Amino acid sequence: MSDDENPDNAAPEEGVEEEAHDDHDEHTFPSYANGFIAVFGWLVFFTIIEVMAILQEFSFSATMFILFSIAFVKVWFIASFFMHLRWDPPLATRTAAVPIFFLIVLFIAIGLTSPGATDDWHSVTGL
Amino acid sequence: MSDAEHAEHHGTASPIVSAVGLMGIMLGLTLAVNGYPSFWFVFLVGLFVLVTGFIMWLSEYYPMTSEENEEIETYHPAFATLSTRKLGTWIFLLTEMMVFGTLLSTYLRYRAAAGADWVPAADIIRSHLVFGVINTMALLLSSLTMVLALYAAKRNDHKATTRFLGCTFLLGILFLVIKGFEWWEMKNGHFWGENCTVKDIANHCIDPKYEHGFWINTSLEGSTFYVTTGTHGAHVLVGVIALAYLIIKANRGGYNSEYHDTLELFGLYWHYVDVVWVFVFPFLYLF
Repeated sequence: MSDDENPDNAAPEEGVEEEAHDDHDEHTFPSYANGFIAVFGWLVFFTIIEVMAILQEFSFSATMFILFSIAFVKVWFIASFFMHLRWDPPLATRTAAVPIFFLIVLFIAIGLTSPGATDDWHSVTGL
Repeated sequence: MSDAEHAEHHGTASPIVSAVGLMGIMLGLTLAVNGYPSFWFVFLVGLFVLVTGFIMWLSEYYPMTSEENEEIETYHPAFATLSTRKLGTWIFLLTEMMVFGTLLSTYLRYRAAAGADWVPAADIIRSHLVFGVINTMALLLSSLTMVLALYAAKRNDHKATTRFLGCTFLLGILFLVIKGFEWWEMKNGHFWGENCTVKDIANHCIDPKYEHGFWINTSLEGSTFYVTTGTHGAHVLVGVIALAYLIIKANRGGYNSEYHDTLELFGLYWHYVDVVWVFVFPFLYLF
């Protein structure tokens, strides 16, 4: 059973009229504002956690891990609920997921490693 | 949809006009700042053509009901579950992900290589971190108001739609104003010597290279910071300009339970701008 057909994943409907959609657009849009406000609350909470984590002054690796982890959690909240991937057909999620591989390469393989870069660092940058 | 309606939707010249204008802008600007000042004329002509194409686009879309839920013309059923416009919007967002992925990974690459030599903008910002936190909350709140605007349109409440879009607009303006103030403070501050205006946690001035301010040409830290945050700010500015159009159209009841795809698709762009800030804020402002 796909995510789109699983009744546990259907957005709750609390007495709101159904919007007019074409037959192929069958997701149910969330019908209440409280859910979105709760998501906003979670985003604020995780932002506070981020700031508190930075004030602890962990090592570079630990800080990167914490910041990336919290960032991914916040992105999940925004993408799933505000961008309503949670209720859209799987094609939308799969399309949005396409650059993940390339972003992993950019951030981790290139961004957080520096093969050979430190040899000429001072002459290149003047630092 | 009839052939006549198809012709109406696909017979517009605004995309090609805008593309030609953009080409003129890029070509003119690149050559003008690299020793060919006569190309400023090409830049200005390109700008005029781009604005013309944009006005053509607005004038075509403003009075008409949009091509809501138009099916993707394909024989494969898997691609028929999303509307053409929505899939196109997501593909556009993929390209934007690569833009910001490149900028942020460049910053991380330099920072990882520099190690202890890197004096981050966060050291300067830390004494005024409240502004960065306000900006973060403003963008998160604007994402909420944007989705509530869409929800209000689906309930045929055009007044609430207009108000929520207005709140989103104001929060975007707040973000840009605070960012501009931060930039002004960092560019004109003194972070070393007797007149240093900002000190770190240990009550020391920041670094000698920032004695006369922290700007895009001060250091590698400066260029990566301002290019990344500036590109993000430019995206917010474009979103704010688009919001002005959406507010005007929403106020006249242009978005309702039947026609609201434009709000949803703009919302995807606006939430994406928020997603980018979710990465920019901790990596450039906090650490």
